[in-house]
Amino acid sequence: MLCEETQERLAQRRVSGASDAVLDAHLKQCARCEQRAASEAALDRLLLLDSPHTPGPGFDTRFFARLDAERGKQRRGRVWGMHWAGWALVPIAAGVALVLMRAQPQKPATQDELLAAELEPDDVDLVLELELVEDLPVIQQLDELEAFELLEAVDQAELDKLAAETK
Amino acid sequence: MNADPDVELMLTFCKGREDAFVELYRRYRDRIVAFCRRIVGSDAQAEEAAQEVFLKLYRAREGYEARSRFSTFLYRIAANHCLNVQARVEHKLTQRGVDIDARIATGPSGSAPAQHAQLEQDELRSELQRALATLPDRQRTALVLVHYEGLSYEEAAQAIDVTESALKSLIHRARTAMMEQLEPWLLANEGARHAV
Repeated sequence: MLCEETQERLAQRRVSGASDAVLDAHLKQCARCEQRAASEAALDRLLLLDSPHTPGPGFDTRFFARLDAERGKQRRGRVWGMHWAGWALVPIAAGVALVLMRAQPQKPATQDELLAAELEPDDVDLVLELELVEDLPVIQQLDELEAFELLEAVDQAELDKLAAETK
Repeated sequence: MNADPDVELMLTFCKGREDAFVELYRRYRDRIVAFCRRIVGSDAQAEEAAQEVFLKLYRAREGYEARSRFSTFLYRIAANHCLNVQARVEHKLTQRGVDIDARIATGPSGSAPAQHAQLEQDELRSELQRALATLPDRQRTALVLVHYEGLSYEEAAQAIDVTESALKSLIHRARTAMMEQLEPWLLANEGARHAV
């Protein structure tokens, strides 16, 4: 065995407590390693002199008071978490509302829009003249509007204009 | 890992059983207080640190995984906390211009180590504690974990997040430094042993 191995073998023996015949044989032959081993053993005995510190009076009381505070903090954290989750829903709700508003049926097209889309200007005059107002798409739409709430969506100004034009 | 009864207790605590946490506290309180005292060096700081360690253990239940023995896990929390405490203390002292090494070397009494062949037990104990205090924090932590807390090299390495060979190196340097510091008392101790 080499002297360089002494340190490792001494450490292993200290941890495991197992005997090491090879190490013992080397220590008998090597004064330097034997001195090192003796110093290590003396240090181990000295280290045992250090007695552990035990908790002072009131340690448990102080700790459990802090533990109660910690529990309270965790409970408040869960409540605040739900509170902030609620606030986080506000922009989400706003977004949903916007989508729903856009998805609502659009205001009925004005008479002019409908006529422009379907009839030539000369034909409009002819229809009005022949009192075929029920053929106008806008009139058909108005007939279909049965609920007062939907009628409220109709532009009153457009209605007045239509009435004036049909006279 | 489930063969470790303390791991079972921790897992029980994770499921909501607070009495399991109290049992773990009861089992490890004295050991953690003693460990903290050897690292941070004052009774009041050690007790404060030990309580913080258990509070950190309480908070750890959300993410706890039984990857090692429970004692290794707990000592890891304790070692990290105490090393952070020491780092903050030394930073504050350095900012105030205090020479940390000189402060530790002279010890609380302010006197240099006495050269006596035989010393009273209390004085010897005091010299031992001063020698421990002179060690760099990580060397002291490694030595305390293995020698006083009984952790294996593997467990102690996990606790301070180093390799096993790095841990052995830390312990070797710590012991060498201690033997140099305590040489007169080692010889006296050895002489007394032979006399018996």
